[in-house]
Amino acid sequence: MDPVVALPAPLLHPLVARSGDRQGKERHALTDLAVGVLGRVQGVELAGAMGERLVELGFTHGAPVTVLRRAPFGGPLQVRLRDFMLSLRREQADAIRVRPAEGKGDA
Amino acid sequence: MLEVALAGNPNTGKTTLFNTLTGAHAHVGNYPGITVERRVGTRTCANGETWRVHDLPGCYSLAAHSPEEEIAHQALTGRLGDAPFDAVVVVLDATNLARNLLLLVQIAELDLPVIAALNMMDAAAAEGLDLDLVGLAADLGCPCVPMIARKGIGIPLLEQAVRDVAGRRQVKPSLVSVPSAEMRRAIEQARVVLGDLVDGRSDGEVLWWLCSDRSIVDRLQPGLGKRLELAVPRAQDPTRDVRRQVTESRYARIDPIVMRRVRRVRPRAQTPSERIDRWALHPVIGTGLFVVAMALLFQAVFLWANPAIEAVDHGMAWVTGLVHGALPPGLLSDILVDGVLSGVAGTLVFLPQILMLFLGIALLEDSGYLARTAFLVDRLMARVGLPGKAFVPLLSSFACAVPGIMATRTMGDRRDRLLTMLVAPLMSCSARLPVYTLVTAAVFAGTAPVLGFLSVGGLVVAAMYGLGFLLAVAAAFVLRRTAVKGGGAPLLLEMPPYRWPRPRNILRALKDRAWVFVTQTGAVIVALSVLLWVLMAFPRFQLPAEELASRQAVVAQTTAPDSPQRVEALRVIERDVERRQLEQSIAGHLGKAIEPLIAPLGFDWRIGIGLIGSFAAREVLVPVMAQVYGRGHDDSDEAVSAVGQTMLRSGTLTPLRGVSLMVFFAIAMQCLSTVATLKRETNGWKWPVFALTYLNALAWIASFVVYQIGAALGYA
Repeated sequence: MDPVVALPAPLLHPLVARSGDRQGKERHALTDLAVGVLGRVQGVELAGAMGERLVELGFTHGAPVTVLRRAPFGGPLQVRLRDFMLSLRREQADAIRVRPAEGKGDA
Repeated sequence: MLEVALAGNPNTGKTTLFNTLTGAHAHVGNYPGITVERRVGTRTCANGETWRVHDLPGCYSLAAHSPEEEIAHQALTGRLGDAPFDAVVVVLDATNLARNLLLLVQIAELDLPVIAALNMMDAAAAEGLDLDLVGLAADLGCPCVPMIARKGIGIPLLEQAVRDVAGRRQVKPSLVSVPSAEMRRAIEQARVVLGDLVDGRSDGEVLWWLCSDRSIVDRLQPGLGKRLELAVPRAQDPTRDVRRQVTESRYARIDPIVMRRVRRVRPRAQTPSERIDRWALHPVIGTGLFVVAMALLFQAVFLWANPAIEAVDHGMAWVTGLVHGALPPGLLSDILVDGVLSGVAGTLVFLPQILMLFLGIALLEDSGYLARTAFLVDRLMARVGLPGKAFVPLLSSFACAVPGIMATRTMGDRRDRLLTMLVAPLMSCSARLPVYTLVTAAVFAGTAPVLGFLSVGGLVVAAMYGLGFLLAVAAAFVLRRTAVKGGGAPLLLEMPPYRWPRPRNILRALKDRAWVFVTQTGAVIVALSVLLWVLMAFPRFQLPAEELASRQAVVAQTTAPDSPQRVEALRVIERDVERRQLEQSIAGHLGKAIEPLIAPLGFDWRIGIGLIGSFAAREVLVPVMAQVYGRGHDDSDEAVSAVGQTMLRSGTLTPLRGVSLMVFFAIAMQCLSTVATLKRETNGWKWPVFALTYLNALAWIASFVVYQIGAALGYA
């Protein structure tokens, strides 16, 4: 039996974590993440209620996220965030910064 | 009696648990001033203790971005006038603990006695998750009850847990987030602004006011939202805003607990839902499945409900006959039969379609497919300015706007929902068909087919469907920028795992829907129906005695006793009385009074009376026109066509006038049941009146353009 941790990697305090990755210039949006590749959320760069809602749903720093599929003709994305599936439009996915994580995704 | 609240994210089995706990003892109502449903039930526990169970609206977070969240918070903090809750059972999806725990932490921060009901333990085990419940309870500082609500497993433990926490504050401070210095400052600043509102209340409540949408805060306390933003300004960089920190700090508490207490005993494998989605969301196969599913749903509402509708019609005709026979002819009999009973019939006749549609929606929703349909059509619907979730309501509106408008409750965003309700009556519903038939059978019957096989009547009817749809798109575009400004929630929805629909939940949902419709919408329909009857029945008309006597004498001379001729001749007199009653009634006078208004559309006063009468329901135009001409009427196609022929002969109808009339009916809102449904679903008269005004004005303009251009081209 191999105990694999299901849920997020240890979280630094949000403020510390954020100032840390300000060094790294390379930032990807969730829309750029290839299907099936595991990514880690870096931040939601969307002001107002929408941004807050995304954070509440679990798009917090370090949370694992995978794009499962994209609807055709520029339609919404189906993603797995943490341990559930949701769909969101590209406009929102564009505002979610992610970093491709080491290792393979599990889509 | 213990007051027990059920809270939880959507799709956690909260409704199933509520149904299990309360059995048949529950009722559904509305929270005052808002269109969120309130469900309260009672439970008698194994030891005889009774609970009042409050099913709070499902929400992901307590911070209010929608009326559901606002209500959940207001109920929890005792601002709705309920007795304080003795226990708050937070139903959690054990397969997805972190996101679910956010709500639990928020509720615990309100200093409420919480219980974590870890539902779907079987699914968690199937996914290879091992939950350390003892450790979890220690970390969370509240009882953790493992449950499989759909199988009724875990209820005794839950009863025990509720008894344990009732009245006591068992939450350990460890669960509540420790604020950073910045958050601490924000809380202090907000407390100053909030004043009495949070006097002696928890920091959690202060944070709720701070993190909720300004529009909601402003509605609860005018001007408060702005003052809060001045006191605690938003950061330039949204990722550094203190409101985000509040959520992040909660997750920073939750995540380590979940990591410690939830172990994955075998690597994550593809779940059945993910395998199904490979096909169900496939660009080609998935789209095909979607079309089939929607076609079936439409068939059910449009065709399969018909036998039941006919049964209701026959049943009501029987009751009406019974009342008619039992009462002496006169005003009382008339008001009961033509006013009240016709309103009751007008309510019940919608039930089959409503039940069919909601059966379909309940199946789609309970199985998890409804969220997928929104995913599939979102792009298409976005092109016409509506969200993907508007698809099913609008499709249903082609059968009937009443169930269509009711179906908008599956839509999350309030403004999206309102917009959809306002354009739904433009979909050509089945009640318009008799009117279309009346006109096309009369004016296009003899016309040679286009290209040899397309009947002109058929083409015109198809054009009416197209017209309604295009105007709905245009109206949505305009209304989004004017009356229903803003909103338009971007598609953001959870895709729950596929599950077998639970018959009990579906039956419960159907029962609730039917009950709410009959009692609340029905009351308005009956009231409007009586009002319409008064308009058509007053002032009373009586044939002068001499005239009646002389006409009866003529009949007696010219026909043999008991011959069909005599029966027919007497009926002619009767119809003449009906015609004159209608003509000199308030409705008749109104019809004549509006003639100058409708003359530019090509309508005379006879159609004017028809328009007023058909406000009861569009198809009523046909019998009202029959009455205007003093003709008998039944529902057969021949009778409909005969009414049309009479209109044609009298010059009331010409091909151009017919088209103008069809255009008017395609657009106008002439359905008191839709008005009543809009009133009930928006909880007020503002939006039904708005819909009446804009749709009827639009109908007038469109008919005007059609008739005037046609007349100018010489078609009059």
